[in-house]
Amino acid sequence: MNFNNILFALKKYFPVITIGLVAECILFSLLTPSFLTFSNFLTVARQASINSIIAFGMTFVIITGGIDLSVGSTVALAGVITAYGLSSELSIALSIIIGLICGLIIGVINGLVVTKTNIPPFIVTLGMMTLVRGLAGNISNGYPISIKNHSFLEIGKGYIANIPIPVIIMFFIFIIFHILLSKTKYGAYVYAIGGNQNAAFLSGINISKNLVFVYVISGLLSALSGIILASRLFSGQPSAGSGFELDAIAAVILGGTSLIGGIGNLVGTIFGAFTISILLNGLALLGVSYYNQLIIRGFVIMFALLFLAKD
Amino acid sequence: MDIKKGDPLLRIENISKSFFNIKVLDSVSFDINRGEVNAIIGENGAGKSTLMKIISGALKPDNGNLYLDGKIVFFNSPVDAQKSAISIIYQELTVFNNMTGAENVFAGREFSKYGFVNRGKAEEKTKKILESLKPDLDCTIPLSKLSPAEKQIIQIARALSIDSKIIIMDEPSASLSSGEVNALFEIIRKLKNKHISIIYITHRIEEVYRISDRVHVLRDGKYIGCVETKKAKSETLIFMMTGKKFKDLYYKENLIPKKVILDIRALSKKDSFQNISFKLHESEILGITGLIGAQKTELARAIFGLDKVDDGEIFFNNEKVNINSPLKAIRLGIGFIAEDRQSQILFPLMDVVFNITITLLNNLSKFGFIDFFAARRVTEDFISKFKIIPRDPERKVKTFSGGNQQKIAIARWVSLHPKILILDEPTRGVDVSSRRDIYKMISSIAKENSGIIVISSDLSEIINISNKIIVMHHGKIKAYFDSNEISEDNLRNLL
Repeated sequence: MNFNNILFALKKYFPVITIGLVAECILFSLLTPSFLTFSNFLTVARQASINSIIAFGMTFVIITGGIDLSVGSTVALAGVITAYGLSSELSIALSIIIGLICGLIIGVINGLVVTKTNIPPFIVTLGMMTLVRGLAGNISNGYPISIKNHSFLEIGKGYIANIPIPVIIMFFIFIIFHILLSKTKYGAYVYAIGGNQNAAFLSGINISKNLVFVYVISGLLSALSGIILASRLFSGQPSAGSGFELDAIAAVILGGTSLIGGIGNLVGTIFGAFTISILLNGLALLGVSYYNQLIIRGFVIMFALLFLAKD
Repeated sequence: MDIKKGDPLLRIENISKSFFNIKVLDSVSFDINRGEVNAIIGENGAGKSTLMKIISGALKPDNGNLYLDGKIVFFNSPVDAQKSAISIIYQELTVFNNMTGAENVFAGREFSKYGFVNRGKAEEKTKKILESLKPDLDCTIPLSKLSPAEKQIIQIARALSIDSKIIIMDEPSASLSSGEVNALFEIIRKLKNKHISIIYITHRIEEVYRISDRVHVLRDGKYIGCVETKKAKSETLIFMMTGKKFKDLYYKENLIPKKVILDIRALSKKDSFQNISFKLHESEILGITGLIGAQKTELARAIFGLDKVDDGEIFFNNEKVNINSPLKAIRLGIGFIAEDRQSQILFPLMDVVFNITITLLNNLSKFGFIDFFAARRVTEDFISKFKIIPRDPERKVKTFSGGNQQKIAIARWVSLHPKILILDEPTRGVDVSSRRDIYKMISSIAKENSGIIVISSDLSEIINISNKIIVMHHGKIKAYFDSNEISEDNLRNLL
């Protein structure tokens, strides 16, 4: 078992960003004692879960060569709607369902406009981003809607077997959608459309149906994330999720998915999301100020992308 | 025609070039003399275009040197080559369609004072050059209004305006009618009289005989040799180009056509083709040929449901059908392999299994979950049956040669057992041995009672693999033959 064989096997199963992730962990372990603890790992995971769930949906969209900028606003709207439902004495299940339905509808609209018109996904979802943000503000009258339902609040702060519930949800979503993308024909069609839309069309693949499908996934997962976030914030906030689209895209790209489309997977995305989360966590532990964190984060992402682009 | 003796004008020495570990040129060496027309021939993929790009400065060789008039030269860009008096006229005419002829000739070298361009001077000089080429060509109108032949003349004018000593023409006759080719050859003779050397790239042997003094042959990136045109026998040239004797180039079996599977009646599309009628039988190979612009591809696209037709009817298996989308065509059992396999058919970043089985997924999945073992088995069957090399189902398709890529594209459709398969220029960019494999593939599909339509502008190919031939010209059917009724020369004269 020589070095080349090990390297080949590693390359096959782990995305390139793993090098960065491992390097970060080593660096922060050396710089501060509070990094390498179980509770800190849980913090990192919980921080990563919100972004990861959105990023999983974003991965599908980017593989088709598109992009979804409306995810952050969907996070807000879903949180607001769910909070509204709870404050109107609707059951938890129903409140969550109407929140998810928001995401579904947003996804359907995004998908239909992208497929039926020639407008690039960037523009379509940019418009949706603004529209949905406005809607969220309208429904909530601009104020956060408090959530007092204790069972619902357990989602955000509860644990199962010492693992935060958001983390458990993240892993379930990861497994379900990873299988969907890599083992089913629907996943194959996503890669086909992203790899060569023309060829996919000539092979008899229904482009419209499948594109709506990926935007719906993005919308749904953003809504789910928004609901979890609302639980953590004890309220549905119309301003929530601002900038989340950039974090999601960063996680997807760091994970090795190309903006051009056709390649990528969820394993890369989850590694990408954790890389970002660990970076922020480490910097916070080191007492780095917020704006310096942003600067460092920007550098790291640019550097990582340069390195990835060489592949 | 005196061939000037003395030192060669251009010496090419041990030029090699690789792309992605595929060796495209392997130690090519030969000379070009002054005032000579040198033809360079070779099959698709022989390396002709790459070599020309190196000589004209668009690419740098990995190894080897170029000597001009005995002195070594290094080109970092086409501008360097032009300064050394080497010009190239590309197959895909690299012209500015929105600018006038004169502007094209002097593009990059405009007459200007303090930034203000003197258009009149450019037009005056261009008219003077055109006097010896085609005096009635208007160089003051945008190039978009000129025919491909006229655009080519503008490019030649540009080469002359830089006082080129060597003009490379890469497949110049591809989009020209026979009359325009004659005019081009007249111009080439005039250029020779001015002691300009012409390097003429083509894969049409008859042109070699008409215009060249010497002919050099490339095959699979290697320089095979050169022959004085007067003394060259066509069997020799074919053998040098392909490494095979003529009888081994093609493959045709005696097929007995069965019932009519496709009946096209008076099919018309505005500004494209008119009144197209023909029948296709099961177990038959129908070849459709014609020059570029004959609308052969457009006809195929209409049959496959990619474009709408304005008039006419299509009968599939004796039933009238309205094919309005590829999905509908596929459901009927019609397959289509487009001309540009890279951009239209294949998924270059995905592996062989994906590319072959993508259309089969419905059959290979249970409740949406893909049976990867079955998919791999199907792929391996095709890899061995069609000799796809290298035999690695998980290798990305973009790493395969053109010929193997084409086999993969065809394999995808074969797995669906189509009743009709349309192939548009199936051997374009494919090496010689793969070509024969592809002809065999086509034959075996036909034997399983499919009707095959092959579209090709390679007359030799069409005659030697089809049972019936349709000749199209400007969107109409000009002639309809049984393939043994006609010879290649007669076919050529029809175009």
